[in-house]
Amino acid sequence: MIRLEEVRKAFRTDRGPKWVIEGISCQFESRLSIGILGPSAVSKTTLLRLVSGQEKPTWGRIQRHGLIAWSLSLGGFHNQLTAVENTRFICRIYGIRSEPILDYVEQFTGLGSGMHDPLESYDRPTRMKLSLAVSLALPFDYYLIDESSSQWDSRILRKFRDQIKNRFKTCGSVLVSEDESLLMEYCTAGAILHEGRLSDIMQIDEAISKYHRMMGRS
Amino acid sequence: MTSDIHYPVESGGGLRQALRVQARVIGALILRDIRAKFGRHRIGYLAAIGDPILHTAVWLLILTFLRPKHGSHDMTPLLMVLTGVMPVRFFQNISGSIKGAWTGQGRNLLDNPLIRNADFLISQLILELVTMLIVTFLVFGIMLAWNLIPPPAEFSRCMGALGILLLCATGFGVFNSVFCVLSGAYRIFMSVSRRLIYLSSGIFFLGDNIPPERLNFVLWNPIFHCVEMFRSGYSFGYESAIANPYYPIAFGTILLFLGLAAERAAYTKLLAKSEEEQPEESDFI
Repeated sequence: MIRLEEVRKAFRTDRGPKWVIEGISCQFESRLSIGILGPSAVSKTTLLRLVSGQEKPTWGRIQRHGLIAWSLSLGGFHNQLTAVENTRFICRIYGIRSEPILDYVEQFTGLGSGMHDPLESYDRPTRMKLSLAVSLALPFDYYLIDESSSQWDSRILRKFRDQIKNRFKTCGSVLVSEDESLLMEYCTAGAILHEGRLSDIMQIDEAISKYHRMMGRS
Repeated sequence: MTSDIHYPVESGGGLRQALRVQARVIGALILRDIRAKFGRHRIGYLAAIGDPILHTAVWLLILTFLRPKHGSHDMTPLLMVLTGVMPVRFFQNISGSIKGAWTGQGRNLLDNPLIRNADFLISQLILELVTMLIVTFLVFGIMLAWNLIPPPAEFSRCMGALGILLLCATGFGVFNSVFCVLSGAYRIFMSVSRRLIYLSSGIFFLGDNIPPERLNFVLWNPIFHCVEMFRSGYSFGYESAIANPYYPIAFGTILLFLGLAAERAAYTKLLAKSEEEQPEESDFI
């Protein structure tokens, strides 16, 4: 469970503090896939970074119970090490035996002997696939997905749909996207971020309808 | 293929739990960097030992042309250069290793919620400290085995000088890691300063032998004081009259404090700036 209590976030600007998150209190339950809707530049990414712990709130408290996955930026992977060495490193960080994870990663990526090549010899899609495989293999309780970031783009989410959806059955996830079909596919619940505040969490179709009404769309 | 792999992984709060996670992360980072630095190419070991020996050889060659003044002590040109090169490389390598906390591999690690900036700093510090201690002992050991230099007069004083250098390197490295990301002008200033610090550290001269007008300039360099202390500890006959341990201790402590305070105050800005600084490839790796 991830609980936000009166969370506020401000950034310093030349004209004083700019409040982008203004008092959010909510709870992201485990085993629930929640889609965050909102117009562009409404600080959806900042909200995810606050939840993951990459940003600290200016005010309020965030309690995290459970392991939160990293963004697909290969956090911690080393270019000069092989896929096997990098996977072992990630397993060491989380205190997990690496053999079953390596088996899964090898099956998922189909890299075969390429698992022993340094990452710098991989092309971008292969690195992306490796990161996704390690991320899905680890027993995370939450996945935070920012579809607007270059890493978790919709192509990845569509290409590995079955594996991702299968994994999401046993954990919680928070997905930020402006692609409503993607949110409908992956999320069961949704909430709207608007003017620094988050609405109540509701059914995803209800959240999308409400968002349309709010934006003056039919 | 199954994606439902579950293993017992501790999570939740508590100071003891947080410390256990931090220890695990630091241990994993050290093992990873040993692998990256020395694991793939054996040349990594050779470079670590060969670098100070090469520095010593080059300076000895230069000194044969300069013919510096020799005082009433047992300091041979080889011993003078070696007791200058080793502490200076000790300082440079340690401060350089933590300088990259907000760039490259250091920044990339922050995308993982379990890894904190402090974990990277501590792991780099431990790894580089152990490497430099091994290299220092090996280089002096080789020279001693070949009877090229005498054994140290006061081992504890040499280690004391290295301890102060460690503090200076940590403060300098942390300060630079923050301000080199925050300010482009500081980055240029630092690149010039590093060279000045190197040249005025006393690798190729003794504090007691330089004229007062030049001495006033090198006394500003905290590393020069540490080099003089190291030499005074190593050599039986040489006792530096100008080395002041309090100056480098104050230098290291103040920079460390300022660096950590600036990091805390400008954390969000550092995150944003360091993302801008990333080379094209490293937005993913």
